Amino acid sequence: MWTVAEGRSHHALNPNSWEGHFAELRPPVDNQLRGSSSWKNLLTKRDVAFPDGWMGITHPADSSELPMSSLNEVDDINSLDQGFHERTPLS
Amino acid sequence: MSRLRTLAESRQRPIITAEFPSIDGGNLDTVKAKLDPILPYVDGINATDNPAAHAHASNVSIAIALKTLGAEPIMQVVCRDKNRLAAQADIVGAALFGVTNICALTGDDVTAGDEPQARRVFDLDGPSLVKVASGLGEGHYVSGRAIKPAPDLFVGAVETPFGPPQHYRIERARIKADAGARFLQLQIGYQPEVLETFIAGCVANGVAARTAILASVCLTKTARALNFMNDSVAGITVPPAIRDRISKASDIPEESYQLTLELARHALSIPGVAGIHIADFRHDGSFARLIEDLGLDTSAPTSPTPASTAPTSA
Repeated sequence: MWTVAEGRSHHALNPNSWEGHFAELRPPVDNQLRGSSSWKNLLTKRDVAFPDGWMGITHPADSSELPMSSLNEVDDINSLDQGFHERTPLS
Repeated sequence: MSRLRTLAESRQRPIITAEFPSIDGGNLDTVKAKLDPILPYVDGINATDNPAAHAHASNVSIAIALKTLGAEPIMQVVCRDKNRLAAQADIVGAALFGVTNICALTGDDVTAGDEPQARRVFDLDGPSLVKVASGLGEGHYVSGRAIKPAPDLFVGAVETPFGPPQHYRIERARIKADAGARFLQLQIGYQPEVLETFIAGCVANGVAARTAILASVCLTKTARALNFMNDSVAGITVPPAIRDRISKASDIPEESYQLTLELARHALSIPGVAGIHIADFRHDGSFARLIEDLGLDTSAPTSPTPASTAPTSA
């Protein structure tokens, strides 16, 4: 499928910008956007809001004093949003 | 600074890296037994990450074991099995033990392995993992949270010159170099003319000058091994003429060795190739013989002095 898509990116009917997009480094998928409107995310530019580290930004604050518990867990993972990939039902 | 990085930046001599066999049981002695035959001849050794979607002792554990035993590990990190949190944790954690060479790759799909029922992750892909790992080396996680001190990482990637569409592979190498890859280990190949085209493209677009490209060869001793790679390994084509040459040879193991030697010599003769990566499926001393026949000497001291032999872009 990937090779087919690459081939079609050169199609004469495609805008040149589509062909160029194929050679761009793709940022990590924001899984929080699952289920939201891609048109709305496009218009509000929410779909190009990337994590700071991806943009080369380092937070100067020292986070070592933030309280983080290692003992929390999700009670029922089936209650969670599905995420980017479809979840296999647990028996 | 890692030896791999020193050589990649100086290009004093060809770099030699090797694939470390997968380990499924035993202890450090098991690792040592596999390491000893190749250790004197390599600059770096790949600690693989569930290769071909088969579970084995982890990349982190093998990388630390190799480091403990005096080798310089190149820790592969694939995107199939772990999300961005786990991948970053593995890289930062391994760096605590001096594992600083990272090879980021997308990895095979789970259907390539023996547990195709497993859930695939692919939270990142190979090029984005290169950028994430490079960010860790710059001192921050994907979130932007600082890492102090930043691990001194040397990040690389893989590329498949022989897989379709071949013209796009040069561009993909450029994407990975832009993301921060400073070495590229290429997929095993039996099409020298395709390799030449790929390397020429990487010289022309400047990738070969800023990223050490290592061509890969594979030590085999049967015709069946070549047929398997041709039929079952994505991105590898073994032309019929080569398969015929091996299958009809009077001494198949020797002819297989001579084929690998020819491919390695050819790869090292291409301007823009910085070294070779060797996968040894023979385990019969051919690794040492190959290094000797190629006239390579990894015992030569390395210094970070830049040489003038690095290829430049056209």
